[in-house]
Amino acid sequence: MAIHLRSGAAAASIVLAGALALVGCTGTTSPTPDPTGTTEPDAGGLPAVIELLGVRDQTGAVAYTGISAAKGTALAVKQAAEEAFLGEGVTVEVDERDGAFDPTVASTAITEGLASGNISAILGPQISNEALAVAPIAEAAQVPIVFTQSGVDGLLTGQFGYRASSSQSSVWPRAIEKIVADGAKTVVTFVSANNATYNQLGTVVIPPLLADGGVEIAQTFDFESSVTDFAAAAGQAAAASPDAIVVTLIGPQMPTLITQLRQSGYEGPVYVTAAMTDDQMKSMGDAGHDVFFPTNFSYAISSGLPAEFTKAFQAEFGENPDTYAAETYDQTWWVLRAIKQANSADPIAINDALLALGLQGFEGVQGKLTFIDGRDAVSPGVLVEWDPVAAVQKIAG
Amino acid sequence: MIQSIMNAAVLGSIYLLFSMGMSLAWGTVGILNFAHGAIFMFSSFAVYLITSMTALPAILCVIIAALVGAILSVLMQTLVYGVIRKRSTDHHAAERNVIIGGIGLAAILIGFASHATKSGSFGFATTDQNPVLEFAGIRITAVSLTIFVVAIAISIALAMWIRRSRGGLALRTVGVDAETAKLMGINESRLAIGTMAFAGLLAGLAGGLLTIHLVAINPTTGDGLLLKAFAAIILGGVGSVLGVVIGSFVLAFVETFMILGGVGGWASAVAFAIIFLVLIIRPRGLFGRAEVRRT
Amino acid sequence: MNWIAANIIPLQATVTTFLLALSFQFPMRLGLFSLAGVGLFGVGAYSSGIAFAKFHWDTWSSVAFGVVVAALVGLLLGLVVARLGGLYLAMATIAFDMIVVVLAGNLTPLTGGYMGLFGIAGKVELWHLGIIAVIVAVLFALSERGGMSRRIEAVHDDAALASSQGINVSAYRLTAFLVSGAVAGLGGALMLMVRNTTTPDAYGFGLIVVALTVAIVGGTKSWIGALIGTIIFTWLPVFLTVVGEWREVVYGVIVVLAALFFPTGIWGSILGVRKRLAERKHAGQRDVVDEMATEPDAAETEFLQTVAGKDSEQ
Repeated sequence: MAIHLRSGAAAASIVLAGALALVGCTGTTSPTPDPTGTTEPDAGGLPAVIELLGVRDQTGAVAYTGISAAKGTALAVKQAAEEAFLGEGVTVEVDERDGAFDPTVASTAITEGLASGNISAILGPQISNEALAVAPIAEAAQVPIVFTQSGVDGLLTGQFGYRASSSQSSVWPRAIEKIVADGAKTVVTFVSANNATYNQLGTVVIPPLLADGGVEIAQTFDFESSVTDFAAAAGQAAAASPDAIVVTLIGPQMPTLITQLRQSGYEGPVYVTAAMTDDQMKSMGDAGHDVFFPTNFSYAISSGLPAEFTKAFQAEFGENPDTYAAETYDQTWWVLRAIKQANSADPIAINDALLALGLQGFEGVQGKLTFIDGRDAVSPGVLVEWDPVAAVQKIAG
Repeated sequence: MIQSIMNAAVLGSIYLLFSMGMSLAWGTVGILNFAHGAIFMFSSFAVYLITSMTALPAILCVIIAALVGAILSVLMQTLVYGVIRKRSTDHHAAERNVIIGGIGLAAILIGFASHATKSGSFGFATTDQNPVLEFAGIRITAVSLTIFVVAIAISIALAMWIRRSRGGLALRTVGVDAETAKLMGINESRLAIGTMAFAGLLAGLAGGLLTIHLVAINPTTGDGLLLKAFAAIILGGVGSVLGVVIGSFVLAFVETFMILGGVGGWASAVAFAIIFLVLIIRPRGLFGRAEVRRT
Repeated sequence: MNWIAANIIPLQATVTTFLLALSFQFPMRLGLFSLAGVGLFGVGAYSSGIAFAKFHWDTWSSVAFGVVVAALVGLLLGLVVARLGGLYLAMATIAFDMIVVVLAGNLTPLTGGYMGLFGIAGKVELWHLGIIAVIVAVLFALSERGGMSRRIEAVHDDAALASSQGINVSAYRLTAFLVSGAVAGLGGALMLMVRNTTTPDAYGFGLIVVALTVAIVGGTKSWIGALIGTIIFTWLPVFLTVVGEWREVVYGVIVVLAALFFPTGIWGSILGVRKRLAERKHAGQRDVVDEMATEPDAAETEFLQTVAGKDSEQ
């Protein structure tokens, strides 16, 4: 009994001491930004080293998205250095940290990153949960943060948040155009039940677009993310003989669904989201014919800025770039241009420049980008088709 | 309609093949293996690694996956679960620590696979096709049919073995009362290893067949199936082969017809509600033994 | 000061996870393998969020609402699962947790569906969390001394025997569910107020695994175990980013080692070590006393009584 009391008291006093320490402090809940630009001359020169902070998932459930993202940023920074974009003797360093698919880890990475250096801007997470967790931190620190992906509503309500990738909704009209142009009258849709973005896409965004084109949705199936087998629904969909099938499920579910649609006898076009990786599409083999997806970038685009980016990316990394890398390439160039326009590494000046550039819009590898309120990217989108024979993407004819 | 029933039956046999190993281990030697899904996935991952170097016939892929599963399971039993149980002072502590150990083991396997694939999907490069068979207007792929036949065959064989053989008798004895079983000369440790080996074999077998059937899986696919396995086993009754068969098929049929009915978003809610109701009303499930052991 | 500001998120998570861990630890102290804490954590979060966003209550009234609703749901659950024990109770409570997730995801007008709740800008400071953590710890520490503590242990060791000794086992069980709900609801509500948003899948199988690991590896005998587990598993991912891409593997190895080498949890092992040290000292003292053959003085008597008293409780 006495020992219990003693150990209990000991532990309680440790906790109490800790709590008192917290109370004794002023209890600020936000990190104060380190002073930047203290060594800059007023003539608006750039310091020798400009620091950016990147927080993307290098590990966790969708590690491939963050790994690609880091590559897109790295290429942009390298090119800027090679052409001395920000002037001679000015280098940009990116502190890449892992969000680990965990909002707590992402938040810590941001606060530690901010505390450890003079961060001029943040290249933010791609996962909505992480983005929502870190947005207030950047806002309080008054450092601009540019997200990609993270398609959740209500993310960009502050003064310092931006999104450099266009949403799925903005590119889906490309797919609907083709569906209508091909003379479709009925479609069947497969929608994610518990992924909020894809559910909204499938139930709120796409149906009115189809209705406008005079296309009727014969049936809708919804699936939780844990469903792995789709044979029954595929069979019923095939039996309905629709003119097209629209799929807004999460990436790993789509190869199985499409394969089972073909196995059920449906040979028509399937329109999916851009969430499938090339590997997932390859895994479908011959079943991967007549699969289309609207997206903001494809390595199959043969001319213009996208093609140049693809060539440079292949030279640097020996592989084709995906949308995640393309988005962060645009994201990083937006920040670089803002730094140049502001002619300063001060986060607030850069923030103003980001907004100004956003209001103007610019040409990126995602096409001609405009920005809602100067913050949220909209791209015209392109319709891509998968070529199962060559096992590569191609632009839909 | 018949097509849908058959598709639901194939789904049921998928759940059955996955859940059977887990039910066996849980119901006989009392090991609730939280790493069962990870064994399923990692066996498939091992075959993926091999076939990325050289394509193999489908049957070889499945056999290798089954063997990898058995080996992984034996390693887990000898290095972790067996040690935990030997050292444990009471039943409750052993149960808890086996669960925690399983969680850790699963994280290790999933971590390796995620690292290698960057958490992406992977499949097999097989030299065979998966042709669609058609009869009387019903379509089924060769692999689906194989899964169905294999699941049912194993269930029947297992049920007969447990009922008729000495090994099966030993297993049933251990399941009812481990202490007495030991006094009667049953080497519980060897039995546990053997049972886990077979459970792992089944997990790997499921991994191989399912990866071909689904075209690709990803590092977390196994964990998703784990919850379905819980539902099937609880419904059917822990420790009963017939139970896990019925449980798997009921689960699959409910899920399938809810999806076909357009209310797919509630499918797992129904599965969990079933678990909950069964446990409240009849904890031993449809076919489980009445609990003899004091909890 | 800078360190606290830089690590505010894990510090907040330490408190909310501590509360969640207690919601697992307390029933387990009674021998109830209930995993309902996660679902109740979610119920607390959503109730407080709905109160804040829809009824427009202030922060602390909303939090209180979350606590009350979660406690009541916990009690109701306890009544329904009254006859279950062991792994069956675990399964039933897992099912409860998963049902909460699906309800939160599908009852969109109330809960925001799978998009979740937004903009719950509660005014909760870190020092609020600190005080709450201390108060809760003190309350739990009080429950670990005296008659109540012995009765709880009796129920844990053998419920049938305890009942025959006149202990109202079912009352203790229901209380455990009520307390589990209250403390989980508090944790969930505070977490929402501090993070401002939540989604249904935050309370799914992943959180069940985390909470279970925290409670068991820390040690289920005492609130101290819950605290130890919380500190380890809240700060481990932060430190493990150093390990880079092998983060998940290292985490798994640590958990397996804990299951193998700390079968009663880390706190349980610390207690075990203390007990062995005390026994050795006790044995030494007894030899000395026999040799000297004198009356034991007050200090010796007190020491012997203390050790004797402790032995009967372990």
